Amino acid sequence: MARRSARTVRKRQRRSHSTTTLVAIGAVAIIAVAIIIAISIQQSSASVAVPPTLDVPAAWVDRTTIGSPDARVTIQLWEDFLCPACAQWNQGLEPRLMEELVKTGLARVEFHHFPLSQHEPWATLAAQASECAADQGAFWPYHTMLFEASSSQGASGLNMDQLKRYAKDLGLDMGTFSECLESQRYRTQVQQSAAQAIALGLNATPSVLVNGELLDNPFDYAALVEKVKQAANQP
Amino acid sequence: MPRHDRLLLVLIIIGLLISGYLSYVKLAHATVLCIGGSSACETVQNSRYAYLFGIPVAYLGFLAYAGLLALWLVKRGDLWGLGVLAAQGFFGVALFGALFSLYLTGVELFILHAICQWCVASAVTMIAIALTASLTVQEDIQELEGA
Repeated sequence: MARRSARTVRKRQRRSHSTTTLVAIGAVAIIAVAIIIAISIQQSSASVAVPPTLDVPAAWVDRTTIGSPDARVTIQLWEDFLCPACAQWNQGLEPRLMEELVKTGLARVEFHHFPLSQHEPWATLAAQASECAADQGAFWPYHTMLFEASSSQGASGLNMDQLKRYAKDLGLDMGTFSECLESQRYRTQVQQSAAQAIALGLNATPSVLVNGELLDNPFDYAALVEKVKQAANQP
Repeated sequence: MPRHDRLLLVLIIIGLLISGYLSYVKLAHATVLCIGGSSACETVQNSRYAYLFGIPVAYLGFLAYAGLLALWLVKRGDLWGLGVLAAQGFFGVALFGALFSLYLTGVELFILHAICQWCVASAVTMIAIALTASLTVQEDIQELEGA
């Protein structure tokens, strides 16, 4: 009888000890997750790097167009700032295109807004912000920042506060920029651009057109160069 | 084998398959296959929240499920007499994984505004593992201590 009672007490003690251990493990897990979340939130509020200035004559930059006015080839980029493929294109192919085709005077690049409905309202807001940056001659560095932000932070990188932050980091006149963005001055223009994309039969971003001809695969850089050279050599 | 252990094994295998696929996508720089287009999945997978201390969360998820499988095996067989420790470790890892998965799902919903179905499926799996482990860990420990 006494032995059984002692066994029951030992069993209870073990159970109580086990519960305490499990509570301690649970507490450690909760604290560990809380620390990771705190670090993650701190990282997410980080800004994006200001890109280096594009080394082209000032006369070659006209709002969302860049390149020699005498270039015989026009490359149209139809993009959405929240589209991952556009960000990939911007970070991978666009620097090469600028270096090899634009700076050499072979082609001129036109950026067109094509905000996709599934990326609203951030895509249109970012497009408007980029137009506000264009007012101050800073569309190109600003658009690079937007793609970097969207690829690393998603939609949260394109909210109103962040859009202003990038403009500030670029040294833009913040009074003018904020007024432009908050009044949605370019909303209609961006919407018209999207409608024009649909009218052209475009259904994906990025869409790249060389002298009006749509490339089958915008990521095939060799085909793009070939197309530009063909267009440049046409009489 | 107790029913809950069978359930845990099935859930771990599901988790390994999901996180394995997402790890492969990261490793091969492939496009994530998602219902309704891959755009939202790409947004999530390429966001800064998809990395923890520079390591893709997909890899960490795979490691977590692999760790759970190892702990499950040690617990089941009471290998090297470490069954109780493995049961406690299993509970801790599962709870950590479930809380972290909940946080990531919150990020998708409220910050990125993009839902990756694979990530949500993994979160549901991890939460189911944690719930099952929470409800059965005492029973497992008692059984192991009695053995």
